[in-house]
Amino acid sequence: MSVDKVAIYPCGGIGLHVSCVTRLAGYLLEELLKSEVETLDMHRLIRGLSDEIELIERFPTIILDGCAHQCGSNLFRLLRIKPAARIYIPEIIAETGLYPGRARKVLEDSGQRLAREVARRAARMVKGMRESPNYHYTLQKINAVGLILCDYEVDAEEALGYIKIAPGVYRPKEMNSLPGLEEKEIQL
Amino acid sequence: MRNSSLGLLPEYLSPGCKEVEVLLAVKRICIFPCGGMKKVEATVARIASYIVNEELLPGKTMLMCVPAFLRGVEEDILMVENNPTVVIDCHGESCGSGLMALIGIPPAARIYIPDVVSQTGLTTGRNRQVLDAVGEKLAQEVAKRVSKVAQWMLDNPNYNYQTRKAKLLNQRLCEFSDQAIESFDYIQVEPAIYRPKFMPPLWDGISGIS
Repeated sequence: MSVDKVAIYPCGGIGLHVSCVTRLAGYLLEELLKSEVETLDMHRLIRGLSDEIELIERFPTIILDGCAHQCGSNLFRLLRIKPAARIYIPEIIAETGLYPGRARKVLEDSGQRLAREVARRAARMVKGMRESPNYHYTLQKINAVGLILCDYEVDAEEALGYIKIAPGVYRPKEMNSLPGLEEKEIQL
Repeated sequence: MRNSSLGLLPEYLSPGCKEVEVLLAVKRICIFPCGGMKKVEATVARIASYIVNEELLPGKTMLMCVPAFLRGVEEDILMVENNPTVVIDCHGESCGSGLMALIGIPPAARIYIPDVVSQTGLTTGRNRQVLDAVGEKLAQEVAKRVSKVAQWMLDNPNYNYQTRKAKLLNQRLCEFSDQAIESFDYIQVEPAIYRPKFMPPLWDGISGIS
């Protein structure tokens, strides 16, 4: 099916400054792309609110993993849902030289610029998914029973079968290729 | 909402969640703001927790990061198992209390933002990215209440806190139930401040002190 909307999942952390970068990037994407995107609220999702469940079952999700713990990807692994793509912020930091900064309440300039860069890359992916006739998304169902929580030994990257598309950009091998990044037909 | 009758009640005495008979003086407090994205109230809760963590009680509090907890980051597991937790519920959905119920660790206290709104007449404002002035004031009010509870637990040598192990095996996520939260049987300590009935009293247990 064609893609009406793309879910954006900022990792949802609170302690590390980089989690504030992913959160801001999510808000910027909502401003930029309006109804083309919807931010996933992971706290409401695990609470069991039906609108959040429907969001990630019906629409492709781009995960914004803030740090090496890859908590966003881990939650999708737990719920047995494959994201459409994952942006891995540490690689964006390495590439751009932008840092999250040291303020969590309101990000410093560098952190805000980093959030804008993350949002820009995610927006390109959203446009590609929405506008390419070749991009299709198949409904998925959460399967969240019999879980083992807090199992750090599990490699989320491996479990989701990530392949690297570009610096900081990944997708599960079995998911659709990313228009605009892996296919040349769309100029954004 | 998905309802469940499949045993989301916190099984404090079940094999998956054994209570540990260790009484400890409280040295640090775990703060668990709901941390959501969609509601402005969630931003208020998050900013309030930063105010407590960085300004009001620096070095005496820790912030619980739910994604890191679910990932298995050790410090995030230990902080909630070994220290009393103040949960900040921003909304009637009570996502914070819901998670505590799910993992079988009752909070020492709960701050309920809708009550702070009613009590103070402050609103959340409309901006999630950076709070409006009124939302910032509300966050300050929430922070004061969190800090009051935390400071009381830190200062009171008779506060009787027991460590607990989180229930991590054979879990279910994404199934809405109020049963679990109801099992906390929250009682009001003062406006906007609650504790589970079976958890150690705060100042409500001492006559003449408020």
